[in-house]
Amino acid sequence: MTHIDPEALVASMRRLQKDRSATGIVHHLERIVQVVDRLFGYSGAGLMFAEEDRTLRYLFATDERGRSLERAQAVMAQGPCVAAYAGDTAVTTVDVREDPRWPGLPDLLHPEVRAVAGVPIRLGGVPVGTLNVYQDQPHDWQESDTQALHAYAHVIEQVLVASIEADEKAVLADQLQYALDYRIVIERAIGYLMGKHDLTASQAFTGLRKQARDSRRKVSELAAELLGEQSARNVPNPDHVV
Amino acid sequence: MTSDVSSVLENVLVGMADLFGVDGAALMLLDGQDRLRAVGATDDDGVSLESAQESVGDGPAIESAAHGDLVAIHDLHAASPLGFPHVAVHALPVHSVLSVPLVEGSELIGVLDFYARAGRVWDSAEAEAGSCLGELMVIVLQVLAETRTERGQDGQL
Repeated sequence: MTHIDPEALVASMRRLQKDRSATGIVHHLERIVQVVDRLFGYSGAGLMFAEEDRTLRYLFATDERGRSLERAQAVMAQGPCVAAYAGDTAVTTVDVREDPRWPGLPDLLHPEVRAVAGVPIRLGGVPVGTLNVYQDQPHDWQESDTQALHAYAHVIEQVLVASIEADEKAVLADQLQYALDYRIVIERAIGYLMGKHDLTASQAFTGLRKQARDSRRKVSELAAELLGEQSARNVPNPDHVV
Repeated sequence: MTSDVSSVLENVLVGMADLFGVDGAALMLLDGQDRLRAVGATDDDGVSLESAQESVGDGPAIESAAHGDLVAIHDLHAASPLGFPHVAVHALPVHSVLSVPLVEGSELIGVLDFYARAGRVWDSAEAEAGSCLGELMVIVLQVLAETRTERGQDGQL
């Protein structure tokens, strides 16, 4: 039986609200996934969310290798996280490169993505996405691992519930959809910067985010301008992104 | 709306206690007068622990807030400085406590307590895990604060 004191909560929330402007659910989710990475000591973590047609697309990954895992599953429409979403249950693999359940994945994966675990993220009891983690070595997942991931996914669900209260469901869905849509543009901009400046994907992404933050703009907007898909605004030299 | 925010916090506290493998979790937050106030806990023992610290003005959470650092107590009932017997007397079943300061930006906003009914030595890995869960709680509180900001500041949650 939990106990919350509403009066004390109100008093503290007033303090927290000072000078606060909403930063959006996607930003919070990114930070939460970065924490899960350090909490469990895995090699990386990520989030995938489903579109209206129940196609799973990737929203965020903590590093380049994790991005390859989520991108590969989105392209092939198969993999441990897709299975976790479809079956509404935890799905693990000791070594995804050797797993006969998903023969098409290894060709698209970063070679250091080996052991993978995915658990569903639910809203109202229905899966809406997955929390994914990976190890860079084969790993025999224990039940305690998946229990901890379920518990963490439950906290993510609570954050989504709170955001829905704030934003109304449609706005939340729009924010997630926007993030899903613009991942493609961001990926292409990362590829452009990697080729032009001989960078790793991680370096390119970090540079892109830093430039966006410094200029108080969205990463997707800057990425689109880099690719010439939008009229350049306030970007004297796009190559200075990195 | 009170019940919505309260239920989110309840669920998060329960989830964090499960994640950490401890008997319970409790939250204290600074109010507008910079006083640590007991906000919620996963069970009666957590409520007792937080209420005792609030009324006595001492305890692991108070010390954590004062120093802005983790405070790990193996046995709350031990004599000072190893324990806080004057707090423990109000929360008899609680023995071990890990108090994690909650920091938003560079500002302390509260303390998250994890506790166990058996004596427990908190090692460095558990301290790191506690810090991560503290970061997670700050994010949850930010989301809840934004929720309330967008709904207006009429004092209602």
